[in-house]
Order: sequence, then C-alpha cells, then structure tokens
Amino acid sequence: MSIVGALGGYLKHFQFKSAVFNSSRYLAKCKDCAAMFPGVSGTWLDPVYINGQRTLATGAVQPSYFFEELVLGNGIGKLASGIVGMIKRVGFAAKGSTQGGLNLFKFGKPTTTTANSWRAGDRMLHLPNKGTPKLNWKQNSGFLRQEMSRGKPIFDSYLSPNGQQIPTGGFLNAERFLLESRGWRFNSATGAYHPPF
Amino acid sequence: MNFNKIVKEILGSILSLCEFTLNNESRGVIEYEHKLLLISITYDFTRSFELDVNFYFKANNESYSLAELKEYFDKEKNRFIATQILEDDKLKAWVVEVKMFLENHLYELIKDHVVICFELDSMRKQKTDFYNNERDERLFKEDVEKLWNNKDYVRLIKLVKNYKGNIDDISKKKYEYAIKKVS
Repeated sequence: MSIVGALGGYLKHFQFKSAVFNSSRYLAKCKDCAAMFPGVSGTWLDPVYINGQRTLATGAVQPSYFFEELVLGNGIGKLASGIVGMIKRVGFAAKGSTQGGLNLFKFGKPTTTTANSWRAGDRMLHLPNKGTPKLNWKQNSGFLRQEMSRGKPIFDSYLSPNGQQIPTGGFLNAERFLLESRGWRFNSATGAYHPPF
Repeated sequence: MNFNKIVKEILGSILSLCEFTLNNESRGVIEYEHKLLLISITYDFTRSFELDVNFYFKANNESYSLAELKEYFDKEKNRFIATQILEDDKLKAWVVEVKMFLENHLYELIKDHVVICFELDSMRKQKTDFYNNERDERLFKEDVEKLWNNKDYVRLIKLVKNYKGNIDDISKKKYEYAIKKVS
C-alpha cells in the first residue's frame, strides 16, 4: 500500500467529517479534532501537503509536537514510523491560545527558528527542491497563491519586536510583494497579511 | 555544494583567531560562538539558495544580517539584494568576501559591540519605519484608487477614516467627494 493510501486509510478510520484528501492533494482540515483528541485544545492537522511523488512533505519547520506524539498521547495507536517521520507536526503549540497559520519565513533567522511563540496551526511552506531558485520560486509562488485562495491570514515571521516587517530581499520580499499585489494587506497588530476587503 | 566544508575552510581560521568556537552545525547552517557574539552563516539549499551571515549580539539579543553590517561599516546600500548561489566557485568567492569583511571589522565589532549593536538597532528602527510607512502609503493610495474606480464610496470612506498614516491631497479630495455622494 502506498504511503498516501496507508495514511488515508488510517485517518478515515477515525471518521473525519470532512474528506481526508481534497482535490488540491492537501490533507483536508479535520473538523472533529476535538473529538479525536479529547482534552487537547487547538489541535489540527491541516494542511499536510502530499506531493506528486506520493510522499509526504510538511508543514512546520519547527514542530512543537509530532503527529505520532499526539496519537500516542491519546492512546489512539501508532502510525508506521516511515510515515510519521515525514509528517512533521503542524502546529499545536502548547503556549499559544490564538490560532496560527502559514508563516512566511527567512531561512536561518532567529525569528524563524525560535519556537517560543508558535501558536496552534503555525506552519511554513516546505516544498521539494526543484533544483534552481527560479523553479523553486515557481513552485513556492504557486503554493502561496493556493494558500491565498483559502482566505486565511498569512503570517510574516521576519518582524521587529514591535511587529513591523523588517525590510529584506530575496524570496521573502517576493512573497510579500505577491501578497500585496493581490490586494492582501499587512497588519502589524496581528503580524499577518489579511485578504482583500 | 560543499557549503559547510567551504565555509569552515575559509572562515574557520579568522574566527578561531578572534576566539570564536564552532558552536553548532547542520546542513546549511554553521554557527560560531564568542562570549559576546554569535555568527551564523546560512545557506537555504532547498529553496531560495540564498546565503547570509547573521550577527547575533548577546548584549541586546538581536540579530543583524551581513547587509545591515555592511551598511553600517561600509555605507553599502544593498539591503534588498539577496545573494543566491548554486555553484561552488561562486560560493567560494562570496565566502572570501565575507572573510575580508570579517578581517576588516570583526575586531572592532567585538571591541565596541555595545555601541555597535545600539547603533545597528537604531538604524534598523529607522529603516523599518521607513519601509513600513512607505508600503502603507503606497498600498493605501492603490486601495483608494481601486475603490474610487469602482465607485465604492462607502468602503472608500471607511478606508480613509481608519487609515492612521499621512493622507495625500488626492485621496483627501476623493474622500470628500465620496462623503458628498453618500450623504
């Protein structure tokens, strides 16, 4: 059985109310996580990207918990380690009460690698390397547009302590520009881009 | 690309001479530590192929990029240019440039770290304010224009009322016109 099939079957076992895999090959949002993980607030599984090679990518660079830990912690069972190893846990930061989301990041910056303030649902785009910056940007911008179509706030993790964006170049600047050119606006109070009014 | 090997070979000696020790290493990230500073050399080898050097000052718990330090020391204004490299030869040339920068400024950086991080902080605040204000004003004008073209006067009024930055004359006139149209 393929990894996708194995995971899909495993998750369907818990009778998710929403479809497990949607048309965009994302793991669909689990609407009954509360039932699945009683006593654990802010848990979610959305979205884990499943790429064309039928392997699993993720999600968060700095997971607070792995899916396996949640599963084991709730006595539900254990996924095959090969699968679990690739599902880096998306979100569920124990400290945060506010819902997180996709975070734009600058590689190697402390604001990216420090997990102290991560909230439930915080994650980053982590996609397969296509070999060149140009191809990676094409892929990256495609996924960012896909995230934008969901209409949820998109956070910027390269910020000053007062919440303002730190000027930069490269991919992060291009991501900011892409959002702004589509009418998304940054709000320093939330540290996130919000969809057009 | 042998990022880690090349960086250690070229920068290891000068950093060790200034009492930095290799603190942490993973693919694409090499971190050297001094009692006052952390220097991490990073390479985003799976996505943007961007290279950077981050200088983390223990005195104020802040990290500044090589571009910011170059601006401070050499008055170079290249903050928005990202260095993207795929080949070993180009990487070597870049690391040699970093080495020259460190040879010229590392001693001073350590000796005057408190003053320098204070000034870097102030410089960043200034740049950040400018960047954020410029962006807000530019996007505000774009939004006003869009609503104006759509004759969406109610939203235009709301947008202008809620805007906290400086409002240009044209936007003000559009706002006044929108109020007349709505009332």
